[in-house]
Amino acid sequence: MNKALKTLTNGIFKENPTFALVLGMCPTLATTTSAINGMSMGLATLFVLVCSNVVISLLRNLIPDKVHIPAYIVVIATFVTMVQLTMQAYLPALYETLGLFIPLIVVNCIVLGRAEAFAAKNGVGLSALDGLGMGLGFTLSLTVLGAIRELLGTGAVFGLTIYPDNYGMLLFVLAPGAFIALAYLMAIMNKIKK
Amino acid sequence: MTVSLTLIALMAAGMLGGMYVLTKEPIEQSKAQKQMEAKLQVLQMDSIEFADAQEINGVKVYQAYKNGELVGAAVETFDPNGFNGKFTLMVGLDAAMVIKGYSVLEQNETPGLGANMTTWFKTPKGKQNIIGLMPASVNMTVSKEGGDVDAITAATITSRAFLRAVVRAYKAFDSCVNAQIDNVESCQNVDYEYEHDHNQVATASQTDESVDNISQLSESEDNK
Repeated sequence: MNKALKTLTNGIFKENPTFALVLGMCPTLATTTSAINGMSMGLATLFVLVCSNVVISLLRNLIPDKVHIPAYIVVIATFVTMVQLTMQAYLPALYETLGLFIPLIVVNCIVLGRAEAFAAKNGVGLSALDGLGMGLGFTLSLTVLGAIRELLGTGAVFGLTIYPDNYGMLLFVLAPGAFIALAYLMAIMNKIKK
Repeated sequence: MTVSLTLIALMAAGMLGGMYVLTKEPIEQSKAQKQMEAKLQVLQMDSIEFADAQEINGVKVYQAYKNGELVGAAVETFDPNGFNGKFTLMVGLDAAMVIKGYSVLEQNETPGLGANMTTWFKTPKGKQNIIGLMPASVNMTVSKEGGDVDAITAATITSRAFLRAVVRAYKAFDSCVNAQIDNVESCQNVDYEYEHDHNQVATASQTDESVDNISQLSESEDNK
């Protein structure tokens, strides 16, 4: 029980994929122009992480060592395509904003990294929890980063206006703002950890 | 080794096939619905019916009829030279060739700058609003080039491309109406002066590009 809880919380703080492991930077920087975009990207990755961790953990004794990477990629790509089709069908507006980054989840280091480092060595239950924890950690970081960028850039959070967007700093919606906000968040995380 | 990889691939293929069949219809529906909504929204008229698309040089004209009478058209238009490549718009024109509205269908312009075109050109402020303008009688270029429309702040390239797309929509619809006056079945088959106009637009956009290059160098505000 204790181990399960530890696995779950591991990804949220101690080994947070964005701030501690520094994995998956491409979607982190590119999709966090607003809190809702960041959160949606995080949730899509969370779904893929849990599903691929469970399936890879189930198949871990059947997959020969020589072809484990191709096998993992096929499993991950299947779930990503499922997310993509579902989103396109039922959330077309969101699909348009996230666009290219949904298929790119396939090559997200977090997903393959957890498959290699955790799911291939642990049972189904623990792997699912690990996927959930890592996914939640990723979602949280992306949401926080998105919220900060949206607030500083446009004066709103989750689309709710806090101050008029005339005073927003455009920089934070653009790429450099992503790096600046990410760096400050990472510095704060490191300070807390010490 | 081969067997297990094949099995995994087959399993994946099966799941994806099923998912594709399940989502195929909703995807098509949402696409059709989006286009329909855009067509109605840009014209702002009730109880109208749209004719099938007539395509002229890549621009799609959906003529709108009310009680059998032509009241305007929703025109799906585009420009290949936005700041980040091609974008598509739906532009609504009434029978008198006045712009009734527009809606951006697809774009990759810079968020916070060029992407503001979704609302900029319908905000009644200064000379930035194009709703109610008649492309035939006003100069549809940005005001810093002597035109009648204010460009988006810090996104002149996007603004120029946007106005070119609107003019393209107007010319396509205009040639359709002229085709009807001449009793030609469909404007698709008409060469008309449009070909000539189109060439002009093409050369105009090319010179625009060189202007763009210069302005990119000289105006820091156009930089991303």
